[in-house]
Amino acid sequence: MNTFALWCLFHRPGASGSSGRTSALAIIAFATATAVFLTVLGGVHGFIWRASADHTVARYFNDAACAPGAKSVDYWLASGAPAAWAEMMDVNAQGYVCLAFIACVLLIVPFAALAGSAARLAASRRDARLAALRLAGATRSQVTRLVALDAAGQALVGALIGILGYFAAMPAIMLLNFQNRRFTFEQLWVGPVALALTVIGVTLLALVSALLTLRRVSITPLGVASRAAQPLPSHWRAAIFAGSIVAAVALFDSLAQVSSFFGEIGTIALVLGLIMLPFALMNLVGTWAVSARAKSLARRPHCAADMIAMRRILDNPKRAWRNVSGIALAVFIAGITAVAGCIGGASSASGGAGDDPTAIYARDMSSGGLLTLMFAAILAAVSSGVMQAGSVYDQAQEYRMLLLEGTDVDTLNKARFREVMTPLNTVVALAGGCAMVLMMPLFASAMTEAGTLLTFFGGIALCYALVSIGAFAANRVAARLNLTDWRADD
Amino acid sequence: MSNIAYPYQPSAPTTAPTAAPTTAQFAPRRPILTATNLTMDYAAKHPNTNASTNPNANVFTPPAAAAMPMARPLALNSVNFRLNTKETVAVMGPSGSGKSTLLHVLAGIDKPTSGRVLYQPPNAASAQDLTALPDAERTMLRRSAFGFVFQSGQLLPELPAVENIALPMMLGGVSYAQATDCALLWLERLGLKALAAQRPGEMSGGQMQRIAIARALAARPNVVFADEPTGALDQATGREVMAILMAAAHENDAAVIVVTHDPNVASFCSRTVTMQDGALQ
Repeated sequence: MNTFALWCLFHRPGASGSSGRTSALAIIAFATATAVFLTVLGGVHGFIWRASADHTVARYFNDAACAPGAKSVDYWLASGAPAAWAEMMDVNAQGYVCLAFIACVLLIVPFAALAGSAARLAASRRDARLAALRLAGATRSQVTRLVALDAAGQALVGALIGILGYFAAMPAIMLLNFQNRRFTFEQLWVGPVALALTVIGVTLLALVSALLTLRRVSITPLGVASRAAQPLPSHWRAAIFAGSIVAAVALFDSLAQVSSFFGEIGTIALVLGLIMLPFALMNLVGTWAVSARAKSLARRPHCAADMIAMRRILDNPKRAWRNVSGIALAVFIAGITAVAGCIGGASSASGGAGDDPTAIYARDMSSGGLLTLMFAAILAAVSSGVMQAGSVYDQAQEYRMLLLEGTDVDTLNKARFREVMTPLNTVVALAGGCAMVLMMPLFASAMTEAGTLLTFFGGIALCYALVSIGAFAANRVAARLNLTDWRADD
Repeated sequence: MSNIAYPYQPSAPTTAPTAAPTTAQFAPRRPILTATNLTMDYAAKHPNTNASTNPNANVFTPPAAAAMPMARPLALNSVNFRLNTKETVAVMGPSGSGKSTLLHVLAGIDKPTSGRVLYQPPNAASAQDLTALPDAERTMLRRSAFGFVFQSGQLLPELPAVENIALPMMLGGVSYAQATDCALLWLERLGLKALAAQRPGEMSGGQMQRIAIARALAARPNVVFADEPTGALDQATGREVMAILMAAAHENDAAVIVVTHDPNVASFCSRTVTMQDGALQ
């Protein structure tokens, strides 16, 4: 039997069971990731369109190849900017493209986390079925191809739905005001080639992630290995993380000397690098921090729900961290946005007129930061919600046993909520604290402003709200599981 | 060990019985569970059953078989059953005869299509109809008055043994410290103290079943429901587990219903009933 025939056998109407529902979750995740990616790509395209002499991406990178006589400043003149400011708007347009690329880079982490979650869902929820297949005589390569086909199929469907999401979000994006004017469809339209490449890219990403996941899960005819206690992440992770923070803060404190040594460009690169480094290391320390927190709470849990939640986190701290890892970056972005907004507000106040190019640039930096935060939070929340809902299906048998033995649904819901909120609190404290500590030597005065703090805590509140919605949705999924009312094997 | 009086402290240990208790030990007692005219028709309960609501519906039916006119088999067919306080009953029968369904209905896990299950706690004046109780009250009852031992998979894989045993007590509102202290007493009593910090994935099948027995009895239930408790064990380990279950239940004055295929397991009970096609023989 070839792989496609095998795949068809499992995807007959009514034959999919809970794996069908996890497939739907994976498709939702892929669709969200694709829609957000295309929307952000549309924004980048819009800025390039405005900065390019003849509004094409290719010409943006090669001015000499432009249509004869075309000048990028003409766009600003034609769109009603005063002649005195058009030149400055044209110069700033390059900066917008640069910032849009930075936003894209920042979104890579939550985007990859969401796509990874979806691929993991596609590959790992089928343990029992794949083991049964192996027992029935399927080869390892047949099983691998089946999983690959499943993951790629879900990614393809998700990406196509994501394209619809991109179109659906476009009217809202067209209402946004950047560079003192709104986007048009022409500016946000990325073109059919980009759409096709995105669909192919998402599908390939899913395929690779699923195969990598499968490499780690050995599907034997006897199923998955029994769950024994895993060693918890070691303390050296925390030491490396703390060391990098201390080094960054020390360097920021002596920025003047560093600047004279490295020059201006070198210093900027160093500062950006040292701000990003701890967040690159966040992935290293995140698992450790989550497990350390859960371990301390598991020593004296207040109730049964706490005990179940903490033990579940300790059972797989990586999974708990992955559920909220996107939030770490979102909180970091919230920190940067808050400071940028405050500095932007200050320069706009000192710059006089509200449509002065400098004031517009500062204001747009703040708006762009908020937009990036929102996208990061959405990606992280969908990732978290999808993972939680997936684990509800994964643990259906455990829930069933708990309910049979008299555990009330409230306790199970509370345990699930705590299982998400404990890592979330840890991540927010870690990433938020880290952002503040790093920004303090550079922008100490801006950080005590009420506006900065309001934006920062507003961003964190947004993250909490979105992740809570994800947790709530997971509980709704659990409520729909029929755990007791089916015939036992008697 | 301290002399703190725990709400769920086990009785003093005694040696495990090696044979079925005599009838003298089970002199006429009042019924604790009385089931009357129980009928369970899964097809009627789930007229639109599909894979999204019923895992067992995920079965391929050949078109020819689906077209055949068939009498609908009942999982329970007018079953009357009585369990006395401190009584031990084995329910035997072939696969698919309705044994587990009967156990689930008696325990208030599942509601029958028709019929009643009356539960009368030893010191209560009146009985409760489990089939009429709302789900929340049946859940409370399962937590406080009933204990469960299944064939496997009942222990939470993330929790160490001591916390698995403490869990039902904590669900009843006992503090973590008290619940785990009591759980340690149970572990000590069953000779499993060395397993306290181990998780189910690190134990043998027999050890897991012993932990499950400790958990079932830790809340001092009036009735213990055991569904193939030795089904995954070899004969010698199965006998040990059954001896421990019966001894612990006896010491705690709990009645026991055991669903089993194995006559050796049934021999530990004071009475055996047999099911066939959803009816008690």
